Amino acid sequence: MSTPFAAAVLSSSILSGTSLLYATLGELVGERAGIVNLGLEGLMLIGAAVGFAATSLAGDPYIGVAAAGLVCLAANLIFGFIVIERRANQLAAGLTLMFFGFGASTLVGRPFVGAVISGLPRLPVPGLGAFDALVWLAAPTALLLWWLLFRTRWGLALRAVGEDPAVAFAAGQRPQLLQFQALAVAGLLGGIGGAHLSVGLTQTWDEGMTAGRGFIAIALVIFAKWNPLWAVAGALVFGGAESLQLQLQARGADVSPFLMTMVPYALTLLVLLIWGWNRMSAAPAGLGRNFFGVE
Amino acid sequence: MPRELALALRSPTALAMRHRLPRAIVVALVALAVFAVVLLVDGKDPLRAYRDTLVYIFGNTYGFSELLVRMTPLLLTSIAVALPSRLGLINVGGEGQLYMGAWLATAGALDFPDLPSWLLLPLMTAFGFAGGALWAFLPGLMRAAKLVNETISTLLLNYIAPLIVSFFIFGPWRSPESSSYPQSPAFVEAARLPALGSTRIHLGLLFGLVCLTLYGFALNRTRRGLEMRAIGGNAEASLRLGIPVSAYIVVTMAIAGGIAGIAGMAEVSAIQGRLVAELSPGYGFVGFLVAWLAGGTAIGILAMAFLFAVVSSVGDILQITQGVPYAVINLLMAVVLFIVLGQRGPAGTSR
Amino acid sequence: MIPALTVRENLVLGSGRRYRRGLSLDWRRLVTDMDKSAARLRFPPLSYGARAAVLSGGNQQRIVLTRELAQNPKLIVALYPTRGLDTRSAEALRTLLGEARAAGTAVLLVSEDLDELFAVSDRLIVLRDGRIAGIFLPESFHADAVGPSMVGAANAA
Repeated sequence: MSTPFAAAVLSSSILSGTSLLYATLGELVGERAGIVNLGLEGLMLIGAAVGFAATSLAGDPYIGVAAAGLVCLAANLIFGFIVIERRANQLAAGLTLMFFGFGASTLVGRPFVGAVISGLPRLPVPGLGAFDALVWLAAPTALLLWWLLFRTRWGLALRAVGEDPAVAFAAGQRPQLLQFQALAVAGLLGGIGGAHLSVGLTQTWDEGMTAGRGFIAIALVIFAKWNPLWAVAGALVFGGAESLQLQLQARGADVSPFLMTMVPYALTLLVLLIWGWNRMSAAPAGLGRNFFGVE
Repeated sequence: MPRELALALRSPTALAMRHRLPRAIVVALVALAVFAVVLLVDGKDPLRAYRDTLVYIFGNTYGFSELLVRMTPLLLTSIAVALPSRLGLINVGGEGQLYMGAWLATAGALDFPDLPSWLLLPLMTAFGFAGGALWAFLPGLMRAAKLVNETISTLLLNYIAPLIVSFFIFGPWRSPESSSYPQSPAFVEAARLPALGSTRIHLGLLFGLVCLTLYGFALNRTRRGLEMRAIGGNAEASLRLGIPVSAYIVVTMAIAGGIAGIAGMAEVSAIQGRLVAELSPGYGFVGFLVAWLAGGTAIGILAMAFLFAVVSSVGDILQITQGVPYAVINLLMAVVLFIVLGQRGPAGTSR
Repeated sequence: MIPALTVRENLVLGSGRRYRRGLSLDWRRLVTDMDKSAARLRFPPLSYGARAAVLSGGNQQRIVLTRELAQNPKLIVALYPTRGLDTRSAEALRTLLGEARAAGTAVLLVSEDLDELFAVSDRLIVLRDGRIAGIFLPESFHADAVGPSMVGAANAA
């Protein structure tokens, strides 16, 4: 294919992969602390809606994104309270958060449907496209998280909590506090991820516009073996699948949009399958039954 | 991966019987209280709204029948979650399994329009079961082969299934009449599940109740059920006792998916009369919550499904009569669930 | 043992196909057989309805023994059976194995406890590196005779 096509796909991948990356990174931090959040889809929706609404009200997209991040941080802390403090079942609480997000986002976004906002300003890159601040910051954020998780004491304590809170506690850590902190980060990033969809990418708000990205992010965390650097690759690949579909469509290729939209999910499944086959376990040694089901 | 995470993903343990009834009552009361608050904030009179609503639901045959209509898919999708949970498996794929059941059942309806009802409907039911079963069989297989955890695989397949349905509705099965709103052609009369009198109650309710009874009976009174509970208790020990754990995983998932698939078949056959893109307002996910709140027991599922149907009906009626937007229902239900989840469980345990 | 299940259920699961009756199980025959076995072993009556999880280690062992010996097996293979048991239960178990032997059952006891082995065995086989390193009769049951085989010394028998 001609270069412009490749460039278009790449540029589009980066753009659409960004929100995925933020959400994935957030979920990754939470899971490293031992908490899985099935409600990420709902969280991202809240981020998208709040981001859009705040941008519309304040006239400034950066305020919108910040608002989204903060609101979702708060939402995730509520989730955290239920799961950490009240020891509720994480899956049930996560699904509840998902429903909450569906409802809350629709209500918040309703008055703003069709509003015109000024999206995040973009800086052009010759030959590639134009990217907004969140895109530029995405990979550095991944790097920062990698550094935080693997090169700082906080990160070490966090990972210890995810491995065995009892041991971490015996070592003088405070598991619950660390888990809350992890969820705060996760909420912030999830909200930013959602906001990027409405404020950065499409400059619109639609009910349910995340379309399953929250769940893809959850799968991506596994795909990335709970490592932020791999998450970048994963987000790019899946952003790529989506953008490939859009670009092919724009060029008049007669491919059903539904089949193409299936690709990211099917691809994730395939990758997980192959990975399972190779038994490349990301699980640090000595774990109990890991999420992957590989004994 | 982080071990706490792995532990957290284990299937929820069944709650003791004595927790269940109070919990159901709490859910109901909290829901009503929260709805009342919303109404008050909106300047409406909650007591009056409730009175009207309850009169409609319980004092009115049609109103009550609608309740049962709502309850039907929930019965089925919650069994689809509860059954595998006895083995320690987590099936969040009810949505996808429902859609695939609907899809295959539609194939049956569209390909055999000339069959008489007494042949076509069982055929469609079988197809519906098969569609859902397939969609759960794959994750079951992957789990039994220790390749992919079923939570993630069922979750991912959840998103592929509606896309398959949409593909067919927009493509090979596109109804010529309504080009603006894609859907399949309407089913012939023979393909419609008969309703009860002038209500919308359909055979799906019977399926649901039968499945529920079988579920309760099989689990507690048969050898198979005992072996399933053994696997759920300790898979390794069960293996050593000679129980074919892998076979159980695959078969149980398939059956569970099939049951959700029947829910899908019932939706297209009885309720919609055709295949549409928006089949399920989250029946699969609500089924998970129902099963979880019910502690996986048959009685509990019956009670919780009924409860959810009531809450959902109240919400719907509030929407129609008081103008409360539907998204509020989701929100309120979630708040209620948060409150319920937030109740402290037995000390030191993760519920 | 499956902790989440009751004693009764554990008994039936561990008995293979024996108590199957079509779709369900022959509980009555199970209880009869198990009661008989427990009596023969001079155990206190079993609490069938209790969850296995609440039983002590010793009690769980008793259940397992009751179950296994109920069928009058011709051969018992016991792998580290007294590991984790208190002295009294361990002693009772050893007595039982002795009684089983007296009744004609062949008993293969795998253990790392030399005292235990010396006390009950008719014949002692030492395994090392996957091979038989020595076979001993009761006359030679002391550490200096058996020890060298265990560690692979040159003058092993």
